[in-house]
Formats: sequence, structure tokens, C-alpha cells
Amino acid sequence: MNIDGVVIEDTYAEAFSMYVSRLVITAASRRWALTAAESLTGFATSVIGCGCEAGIDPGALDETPDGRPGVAVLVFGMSRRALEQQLVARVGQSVMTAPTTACFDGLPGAGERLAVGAKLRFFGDGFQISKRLDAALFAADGRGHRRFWRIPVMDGEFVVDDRVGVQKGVGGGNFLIVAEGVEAGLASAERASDAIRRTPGVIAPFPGGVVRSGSKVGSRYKFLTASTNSAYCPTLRRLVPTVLEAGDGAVFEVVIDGVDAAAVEAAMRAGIRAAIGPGVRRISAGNYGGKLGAFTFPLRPLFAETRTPSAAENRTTAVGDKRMAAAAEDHTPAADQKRTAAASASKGRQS
Amino acid sequence: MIRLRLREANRVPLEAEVITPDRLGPLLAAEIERLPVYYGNKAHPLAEHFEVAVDGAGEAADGGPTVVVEGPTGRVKRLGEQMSRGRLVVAGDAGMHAGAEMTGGELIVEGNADDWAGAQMAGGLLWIKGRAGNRAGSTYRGSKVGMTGGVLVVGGDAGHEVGGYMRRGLVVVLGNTQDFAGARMVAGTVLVLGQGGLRAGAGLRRGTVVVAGGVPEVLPTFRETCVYRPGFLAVYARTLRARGLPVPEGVLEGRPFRRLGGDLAELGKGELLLGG
Repeated sequence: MNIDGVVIEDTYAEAFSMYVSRLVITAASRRWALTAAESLTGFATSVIGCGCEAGIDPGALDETPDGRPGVAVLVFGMSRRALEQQLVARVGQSVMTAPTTACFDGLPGAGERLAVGAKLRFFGDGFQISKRLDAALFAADGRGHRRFWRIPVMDGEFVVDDRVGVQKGVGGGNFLIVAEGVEAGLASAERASDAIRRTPGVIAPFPGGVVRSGSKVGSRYKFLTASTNSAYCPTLRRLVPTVLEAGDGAVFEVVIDGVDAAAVEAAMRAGIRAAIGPGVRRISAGNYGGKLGAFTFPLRPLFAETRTPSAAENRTTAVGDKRMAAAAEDHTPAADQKRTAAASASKGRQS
Repeated sequence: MIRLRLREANRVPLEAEVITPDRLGPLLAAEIERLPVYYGNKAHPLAEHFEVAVDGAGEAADGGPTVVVEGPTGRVKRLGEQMSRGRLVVAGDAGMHAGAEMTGGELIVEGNADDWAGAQMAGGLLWIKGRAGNRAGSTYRGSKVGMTGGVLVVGGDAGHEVGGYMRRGLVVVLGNTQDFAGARMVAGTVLVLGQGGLRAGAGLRRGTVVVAGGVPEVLPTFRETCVYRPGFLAVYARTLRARGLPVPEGVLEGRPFRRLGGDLAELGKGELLLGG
């Protein structure tokens, strides 16, 4: 397949199940809501090194629980426990500390909840106040009561929901831009990143939405589980096994996490379309033979008029979902470590 | 839907605790007509005082039955008492104890409600569109526990001791209240959008009493801490509006309130938030 002179390789991106929470951060002005959101989502490029992946949700935020300017963020983790730890740490250090902010659950319909305000409340040193909005006020949407905490801080009170919703999401959707050189590749990646930022329900967690240090599983050093993806390094072409061809000067990867497979697919489609342009030679994607990821996103069908998932894709998805669900129920530290290692192998990238 | 129409105004109060969606929902019209109501100290069949009509329409939001009570019901006591589901609409006024001890469902009083409306309620929504009498959402004499849950909304003014002894729940009065609003609360929230009376929050241990229109005087056992804009009140206001309740914009949100901690004669962890 060739779109405007750019080859779309016959391959697929491999992604896996993650847990996702959505927070709505409000403040006296959008400036401070955004400041808190950017701080919360900082250093959250990969679960491998950062504990979670996070970004600002580009979806429209028509109104907020307290009517003030707000920003929504998506935070992804490999297990509910790991995600909860990250949320408590990040809301506590990046939102509660930011002037005038409040933090609310952005997934009120989710069946499962993580304790965030319930743990942060202790900062109030006994002066925190709980407020409970009775279930009778939410009769129309059938959800239960809503509890939040008012924690006294130096500019008044920090209001934070007791619990926030969590649901299954999809992490690790990706595509690779193979370009003639850094300038063309970077311009292409920036266009892709901008397009993804306009797609609701997804984040591109790496800096600016782009990765230049893709990794392979394993290393010649025993202490390292992943190392540079030598097959894609232009400076190593013809010195090591490579996938690069003559004239391939730079490769950039775009990684996408989404609230569901449809959101990731929509973001990949929008991103790849935007990436196509002068100096781009082909678009590829990262996968591991369908053995590790729960989801597969073949590139070419993204641009077919109607896309029918292949039998293999459906099978992979179903099996992967069960495996990830079973693994996610186990919250022992050993299980967490195992999951992170699996993610590391599956994603094959870290800075 | 079950429709009950009071045949004529009664001079002696009628006690009709059987009129709840829970009790009436499963019954046929003839069975409803035989239910006892007390006229003075005598048990009468309900049909002696009410016309009964039943049709299949009008399921409430929670899947329970809908009951509509019409006629001059200002002296019909205990309507919706202990109801747990469904929807009860009183098309006119309600006598004493409307919605007392209710645990769920919706009770809508289109007119006024007499004393003890929603007393000791534990869940559900009681919306009185007119005025409420004394001790709305409060406790019965001798009991230490008032509301333990649910939402009571009064569209007009309310009498004395609104929300007294509350443990949990929400009382919203869109008009003014008389004395002792939120007295001896242990937790929960009382929102008065108009003016309060004397001794608001007296004996408050925990909990929040908000009087947007201010009070004539504050007990000396409350200590003023600051003037600030409580963000959580905007959450309340928006949630109430989203539920269809008529909370005007700008009364609770985006404006300064004096915060007073107290009652220091008790535990002192409660708060009075006073506008005006």
C-alpha cells in the first residue's frame, strides 16, 4: 500500500491491556489547571521507568464538577494497585500543591474505584472534612453516592474525590516513521503528534508525543533488560542486522495509549495520515509476532474503507485479554514485577 | 400508576402511613381500598376517604411504582413514611411526618408540608416545593439521631430546628429558616439559601451549616476563622441543579463566606459558613 508516495508496510502494531483512570483538574484559571496537569503527567512516559504513563486528554471538557476551568488527564498503569500508588503520589505532589486546584473523578461511570482522596486526606492532620453527596442525587444515572474530601491548605481548601474510576484501557499502540533524515522525520512526527492531540480518549505519553530511542528486548549487559533498537539505528546500518534501507536516515516512533481499542485505532489512523509528507519513506509499526500483546492493529486496514478484524487478530485479542485480566488480579510484588517485565518486552522501548 | 384522591377535607387528622409506593405497589385496587387508615383513633378502610384508581403506567426512575395523592391533603399525616422505593407525588399539601424515616425513592410534595417532614430519614429524596414546618429533617423528641442519609429540599421557608441532630445527609432550604438550624448536628450538611434564625448550629459537633443570607447573631461559642470562597459549595450547587432541583446560580458558588468553627461548647469540629 502506498499513500501519496509513502509506503504503508504490511505489518501491525502490538498493544496490550492496561488500567486507566481519568482525572479532572480544576483551578481558579485554566493556567493553574494546566500547570497542575502538566506537572502530574510529567515524567510519565513509560510504565517501565516511570511507574505509569500519563498525558492530557484532548477530549472536550464542556463542564467541570465545580464549574471552574479544568483539564482532564489520563493515567495508565499495569495493575490497579500500581495505578493507585501513582495517582496518590502524583495528585498529592502535583495537584494538591498547585494553587487553587481541585481534583475530581473523570470516570464516574466506571465500575471499579481507586482510593485517591481517601489516602490523601491524612495530609489534613485530622482537620480534613468529608462530604458525601447522597445517591439520591444521582438517581438518573444510577451511580451510588459521591464522597469527596476538603483538606485545609494555605490558600483555603483542596477538594479531592475520595475514589476515582478505573477501567481497562489499551497501551502501546504505535507506528514508526522512517524518513530520509532528521528534519523530514521530525516534521512528520510533529504533524502526527498534533493530530493525535486532537483525538479524544488517547495520549501519546512520550516527550512531545514522539520517541527517538526505541529499544529491543535484552542487552549484552546482564543488568539491563532492554537496549537500543540497533536494527533501526542509522549509524549501525550494515554493521548489525538492520531493517533500514539505503536512504533511510532517521526513524521516529509514536506511541499511543487509549481508553479502548477504538480510540487507539482512531489515533493511529489520524497520526499516520498526518505523518505522510515530504521526505517520509515509509510507515511501519512495532510488534513481537503477536505473542505478547493482547491487541493488534494492522496498518493497512486502517486505511481501507471498511475494516474487518482478522481471525488471528480476534483470537490474539481474546487470549490476551484473558491473560492480562488473570495477571492483573494478582497484586503480589512478584506479580507486579512480572507484569512490568512483560510490558517491557511487549513494548520494546524505553528511554 | 396508582392515583388516590381524598374525597373531602378532614377536620380530624387522618393517619395514612400505608400510603407509600412500597405498600401500594404490589396490591390490586380492591386490596388498596381495604387498607386501614386512622381517622382519630378509629381504623377506617382507605376507600372511605380516598377514591382509588390503578393503571399500569408511570414507573419511577428506580423501577418502583408511582403513587399520586390528590385533594385537600394538608391534614393527612405520615404520607410516604418509611418508604424505600418508587415515587410518591402529593399534588397538594402534606400533613405532619411526610417522608419521615424514609430510606429511598422520591417523595415530591407540590405544596407545603407540616412539622417533622423527613424526620430521621435515612435515604431517598424528599422535595417539598412549598414551605416546611418545624423540625424538618430533624429528630423526634427523645432520639439523639436525626437524618442519617438522603436529601431533603424545601422550596420555600422552613421552621425551627431544621436538620437537627443530623448524622449524615443533606438539607437544602431555598428560603429562610427559623431558629436552631442544624442544632446538635454530628455530621452532614444544611444549606440555607435565605436567612437563618437565632442560634444556628448550636451544639454542632461536626458537619456544615451554610446560611447564604446570614444570621442575626452568632453564638459566642463559634470562632471566626476566615472569609473565603468554599469551592465545595459549587459542587453541591451544580449537583443539585443537575438533579433538576431549583438552586439559583450565584448563591452558593463564587462568592465569599465567613467561616466560623464550632460549637466550642461541644467537639468544635463543625463549621458555620455565613454569607450576607
